[in-house]
Amino acid sequence: MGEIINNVPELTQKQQIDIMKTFTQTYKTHLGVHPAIREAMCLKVQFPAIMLDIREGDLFAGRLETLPIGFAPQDDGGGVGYYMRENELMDMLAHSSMDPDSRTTVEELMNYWGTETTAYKVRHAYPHAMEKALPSDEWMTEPGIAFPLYRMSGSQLDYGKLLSNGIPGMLGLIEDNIASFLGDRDRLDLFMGMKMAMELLTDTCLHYRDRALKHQSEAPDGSWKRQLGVMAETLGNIAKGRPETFREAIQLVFIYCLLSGSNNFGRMDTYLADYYVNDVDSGIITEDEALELLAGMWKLMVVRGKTFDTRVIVGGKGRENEANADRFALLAMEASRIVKEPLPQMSLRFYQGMNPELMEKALSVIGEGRTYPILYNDDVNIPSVMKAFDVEYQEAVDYCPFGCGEYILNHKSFGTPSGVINLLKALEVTLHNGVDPVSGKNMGLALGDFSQFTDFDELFTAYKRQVEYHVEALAKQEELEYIIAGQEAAYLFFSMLFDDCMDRGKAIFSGGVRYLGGTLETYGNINTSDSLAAIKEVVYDKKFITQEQLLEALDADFVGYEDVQRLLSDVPKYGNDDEIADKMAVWVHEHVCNVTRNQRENTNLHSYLVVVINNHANTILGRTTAASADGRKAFTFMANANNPHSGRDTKGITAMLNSLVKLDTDIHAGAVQNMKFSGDLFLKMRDNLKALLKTYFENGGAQAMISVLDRNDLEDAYHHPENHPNLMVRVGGFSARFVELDRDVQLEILERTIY
Amino acid sequence: MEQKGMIFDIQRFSIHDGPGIRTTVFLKGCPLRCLWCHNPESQSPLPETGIVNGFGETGAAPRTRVIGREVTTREVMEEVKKDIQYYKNSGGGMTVSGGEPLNQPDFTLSLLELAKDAGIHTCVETCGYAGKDSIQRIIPFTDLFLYDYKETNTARHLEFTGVGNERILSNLRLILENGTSVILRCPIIPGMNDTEEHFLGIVHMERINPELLGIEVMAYHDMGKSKAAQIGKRYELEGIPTVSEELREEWIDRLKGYGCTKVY
Repeated sequence: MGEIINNVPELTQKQQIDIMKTFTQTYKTHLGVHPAIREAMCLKVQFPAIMLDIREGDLFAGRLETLPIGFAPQDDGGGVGYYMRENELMDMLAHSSMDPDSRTTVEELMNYWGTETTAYKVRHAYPHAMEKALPSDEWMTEPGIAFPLYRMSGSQLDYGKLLSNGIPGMLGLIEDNIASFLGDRDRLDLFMGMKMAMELLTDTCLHYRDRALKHQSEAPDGSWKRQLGVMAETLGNIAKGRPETFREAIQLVFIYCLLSGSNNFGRMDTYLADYYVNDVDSGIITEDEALELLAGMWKLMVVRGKTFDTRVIVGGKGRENEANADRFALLAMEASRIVKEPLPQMSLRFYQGMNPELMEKALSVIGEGRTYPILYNDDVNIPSVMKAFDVEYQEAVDYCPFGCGEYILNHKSFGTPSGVINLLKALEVTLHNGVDPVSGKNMGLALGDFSQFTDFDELFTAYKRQVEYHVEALAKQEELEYIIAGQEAAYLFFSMLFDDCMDRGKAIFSGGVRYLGGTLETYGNINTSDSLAAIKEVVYDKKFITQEQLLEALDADFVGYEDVQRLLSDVPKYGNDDEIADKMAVWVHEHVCNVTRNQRENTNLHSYLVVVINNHANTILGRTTAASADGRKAFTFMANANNPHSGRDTKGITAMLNSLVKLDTDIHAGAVQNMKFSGDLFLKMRDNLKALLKTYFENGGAQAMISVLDRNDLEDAYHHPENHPNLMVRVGGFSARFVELDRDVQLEILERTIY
Repeated sequence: MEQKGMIFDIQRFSIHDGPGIRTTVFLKGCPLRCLWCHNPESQSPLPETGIVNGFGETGAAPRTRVIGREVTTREVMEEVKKDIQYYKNSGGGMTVSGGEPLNQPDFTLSLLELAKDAGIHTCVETCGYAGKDSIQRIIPFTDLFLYDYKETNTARHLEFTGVGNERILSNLRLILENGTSVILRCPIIPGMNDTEEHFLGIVHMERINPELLGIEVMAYHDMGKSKAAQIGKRYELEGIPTVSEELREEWIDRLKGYGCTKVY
């Protein structure tokens, strides 16, 4: 299907600095005006200036490389809203022979944004107690129990609304609101900002149309020249009217997505299916051409490279024209089969009674080693979402996984994960009475000397208190982050396509979105429960060792205490359908989920829910987490999400799946389950495999992320990466080429049990 | 009635020992001493000590492990019943294997009875070397026998396994005449029983036992070697490589060429 044509930088350093300078001047000039206007003015500097040119082979226009200073809801490395990627600017200063004027400009920009970014403002609005509980932002390098994250992540926009209105229709809606809010300055400014944003969308389409025409005039006769002509026409059409074709619909969605800074595509078969079916059935395009178009969109997603996001959801209940949607879902899975890339994160929702062709197709694509689609069981998830989010069926039916697997309600709710908690570190600090043994610093709460805890319940109570203290701080932090984000900007492209914002005349984070919720990423859950189970048995129930002996062994990373490590390792572990180990996992899970969910009482958040999603943070946080009482060595990876610790599930996959379904899904906003199957089982024992998955889902399984590969391939790829450039694995909430992962992440995957 | 027995493993999600998704209970102790045995730890009826690798923990030291534990039928059934939903959806169930299940006839019978009581499909994987009486007692509670046929020539059978095959053959007739399902399983070991005589013998078995459901060719795998080393046992076969899928297919084709229709 042709290869991926990556972006090449087009702007000179001088041009980049000029854009950032103008952006900053515009920002300063508009400090006194409504944030929606300021944002629109700044976006006008940013777009289309940072859009990159069409490259030969592109079926759609839409490439961009963000600058180190700019505006985005979620900038990797820069944070939220008005962001700055300081490291890149430092690099610019350090590594280039820049003229003195530019140097001065960059230094001035750094100086200015150093205290003006949205992330800075959030951090510096922390009250004392919050600062104490969340002392560091450096979750990837510093040891800690809880960390904040600065981003507005997980938007799923109402592209159906965009497509059915087109740009002119959207402008019409905005104009109507302007007319009706003439006396309301705040609302008027918001809609004026939206109008400017919509015009910017038009300008960007026309900008790309002009680029396409220019290339067309220069291209030699042939298919590329013809393609450019079609592209120019498409862009011209969507700039002035409603999209009428599959091609136009994709083009409009993709450009809007780039301008909005949204990284996920929601339920794509609810908004693209009718265009596809109509075009194919009326002979405008062939089935093959439709596939080529969608694959073309997929490739631009790959170019954009939002590895942890870029969700495309198909299938499931609640799709209006289900027959069309099913046809599109099959096309989308086929596109993922032929494109062979880690993106998009194709996800299939399914339910009992859905067209069986979809699941058959899904298993075929997974069987080819794609890691996609990820499977979501509506029969479990919809009732769970109803309970967890406290919403009615009609809204829960539109649940939508984003990013690494957090659920939100498609364009009705927002729930950025703005916090991380390492439960194993919470236990570690509790065992050390408020001291982090890795850094030697005071951390969290000092809740008493472990050696004085006479029974297990005392320890467990202290651990729970430690977790509660941090969860409370994180919930308030989430609320605060929304408040500051809303004060700073209107997030115009979100506000136009999120339910209720236009009706209420309010920006998304300023009272606009129907449900403003939050999510909290938990890590180390399973190592914590395995550790607690081991302590309970070895220290308290059977008294093989004392509290002091346990601490000595942990502090020595078991060196010289191998017998203690063995004792601890021999206690049954979660993932084996073992009653005691699994019950501890349930306790730990229910505790953190319920405490988190209860934070909606302490905040104005509609919901605040745990997500057990995991990207590779289990490994990153493991690097700063000491030896644990489950027998895990210091600074090694922790278990992935709700999965057993790699290699500890030894009783077969049915036992593992039975353990998984014991963890209640009604009290969180998504958990991910990795399963690694050999090609032999997956391909040659298809009936058993289907029965296995069917039973897991009937038993309450909510989700499955399946990698099909062979151990020999993985081991060989670990030692000879050059021979396996394309071996795909599911890490946690994202997929990747195995050879591109860090060694310890590779090891964690390698050691997972393969069935 | 609750019985006690000696097992060395309970394997869940077992998909090679009978139809569907199964749980296989491996009983310890076997009257045969097949040179190629891939479960050498199953031969002795008593627990033994093996040395195995660590816990999957990076860099963990090897450790000893006791192979074999005495369990009650109730304990086994608790484990087996945990996957009952999987059996239902896949047409699977419980397989009693070994070792030789009929080396512990009362325990095996009790397991099978309890499984049938719970509505679970049952398989017995046996070498067939057992008392007629033991066979007769389990027939009513066994849905399917996976029945070994190791060597046609009884003298060579004795040489390879330590016993002749006469009793095995008469027990097979007994089961078939009772109308119970049987799949014949033929382990083929290069250089030992991959002979013309034995292949023709397998074809003959199909001819004289028309009730057989199928004949499965089991290719030699050398995993018994490392297992034997773990428990400090001598492994009799040296230098025989694991059989490739291609060679197995060749054998199957050869048997089909001789007129075997149920072979796979």
